[in-house]
Amino acid sequence: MVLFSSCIKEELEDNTKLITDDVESIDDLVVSEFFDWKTTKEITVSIKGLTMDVGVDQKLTLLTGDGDEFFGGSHKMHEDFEMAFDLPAGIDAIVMKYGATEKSAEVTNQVASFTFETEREADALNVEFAELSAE
Amino acid sequence: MRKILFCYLLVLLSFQSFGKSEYLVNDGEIGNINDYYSACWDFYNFSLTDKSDYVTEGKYSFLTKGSKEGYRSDIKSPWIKFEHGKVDMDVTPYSGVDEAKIYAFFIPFDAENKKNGESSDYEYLGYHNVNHGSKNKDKTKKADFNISKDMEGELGKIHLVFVVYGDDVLLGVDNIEIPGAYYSDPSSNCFPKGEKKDSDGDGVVDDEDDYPDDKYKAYNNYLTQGPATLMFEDLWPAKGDYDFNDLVLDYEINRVTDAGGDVVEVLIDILPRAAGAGYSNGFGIEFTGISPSRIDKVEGLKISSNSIHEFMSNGLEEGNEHATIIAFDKVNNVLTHPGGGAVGINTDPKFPLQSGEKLRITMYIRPAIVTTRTSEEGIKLSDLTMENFNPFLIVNQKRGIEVHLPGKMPTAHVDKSLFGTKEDNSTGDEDAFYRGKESGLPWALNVTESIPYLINKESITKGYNMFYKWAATGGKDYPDWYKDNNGYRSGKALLNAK
Repeated sequence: MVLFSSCIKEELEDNTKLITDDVESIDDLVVSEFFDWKTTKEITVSIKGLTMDVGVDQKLTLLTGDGDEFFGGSHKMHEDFEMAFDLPAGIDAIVMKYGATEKSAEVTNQVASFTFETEREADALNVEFAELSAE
Repeated sequence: MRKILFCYLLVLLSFQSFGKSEYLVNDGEIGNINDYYSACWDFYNFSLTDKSDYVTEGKYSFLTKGSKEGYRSDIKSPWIKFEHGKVDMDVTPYSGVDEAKIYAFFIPFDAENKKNGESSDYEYLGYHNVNHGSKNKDKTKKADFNISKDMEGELGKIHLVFVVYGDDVLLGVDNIEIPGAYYSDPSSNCFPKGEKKDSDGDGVVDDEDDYPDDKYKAYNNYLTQGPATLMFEDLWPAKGDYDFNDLVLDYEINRVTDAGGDVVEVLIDILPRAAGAGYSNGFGIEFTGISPSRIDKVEGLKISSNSIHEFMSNGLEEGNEHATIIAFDKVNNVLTHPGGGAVGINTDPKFPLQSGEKLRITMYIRPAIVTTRTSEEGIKLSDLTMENFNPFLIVNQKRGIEVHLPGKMPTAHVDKSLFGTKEDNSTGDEDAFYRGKESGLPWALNVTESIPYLINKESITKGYNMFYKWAATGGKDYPDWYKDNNGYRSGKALLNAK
């Protein structure tokens, strides 16, 4: 049976030496028994909801910094959100989209944190109304 | 008589006792003016105080000040769909206020104004004079403004202007009530909420619904960002050659959720890419933690008529604790051998690359059942993460020989007598399965994106120059070892059939 298998160690060693001699060999490789061999890491995304219930319930989208969507779901704007995701180990930023709001957060200690607090430009309220001087 | 309903987060809607009018109320009780700002209220020259001397009711009141010439401060409401009634508020002039005027304006919505939607064609609702000629100076008074019947149903804001006379004086404002429904969308720069179409009536508007005509499905949720690659060695429990090409496949998993966030379908796309083995191997996936009884049916499996596997009526493999699919039982069913004496498929560049048969496997989840006697929760995204994804190779039509990712548990069908034999170091501890005795090396790898795989008999360190450093450092160095970065790959050791 072994003769029909592709996995014959002796042939491997001969052939690999033909390609490159200077790289580290798999035969020398010893890894920690605790190494998980994962190419992903668990990142927790947390979003602080608004204090007030503004009656907005719509799609929350989460994306990697490269633009790959990894979560889509309905979410109420006044509720907190927290969920863990398995994302590529190199991910260092998360993007949140909610309505017209788009925010980016760095991943720190495997956590990306957002709030729904608005960053809109404050209206200039001291507008002139003709009636103010008339009364 | 008005009955006010307080919702616990204190944006308060009130109803007249005969159930006609709805009121938007701001009583300051959230205690943070920025929270009101986030909910699309605007304030100019106002603060929120909890000093009991200046609180009209509850724990907080809004506070402004005065000046000899008249000090101006403003409050502007969010967008409101108006109803007939009165805008009113409690106003408290504290000692020394000579006079305070409160002006009210109705600002209609103007879709042409892309900045904030406010029309310049406002309507003046009148003014209220506090303290002027009053016998009860320094007492809380009501100020109100009429919202006429013909304004009912209109979309607009109320802009209140306060002008307070008197040096070093204060004016408290509380319990602002406006007849109508809150209609701002803080997620859209505080523009009015849109009227959007929801064809399937699932509560998710068509623009945001990945399945706008299916009320049972709403959102795609991909477990990986694009296709990912699984690579197996098949000599377990004996030592492999670490070319990880005895079975190579790409996969993509989409967990389709409904409007409520329950997973209703799992779509598993599989593209077999290479089979460097002489063995007739199969491939399965256990969804750890998901009971087989939660699966309604499975479609899209590629199973031979003389399969070694037995199946439940829903298509899952029989006899497992967790929901387990056998995607294909023989790799030759999904990847055609090139002939000509090749040992494997798509692992020797001397032979033409074969196209694998793409599989779309659909696993339908039974909906949650809630009765008076039982309550079964739906399956959530958190129940179907990478932790629950347990793919495995079935070696050469021997059901008891399974090859899993390192640290993953075998299924109930595994031949337990093989653990701890030859090079395998499985000790029975949960994380100890499928790791090499001396080296700790695995028999399978899961890479988060689609990558080229190794030519037959080339070990992975020959094709991926940073793999050794990544593994030797326990993943600390070069976590992106599989990327096509400069110097990371040796192309002559790699193939990339797709």
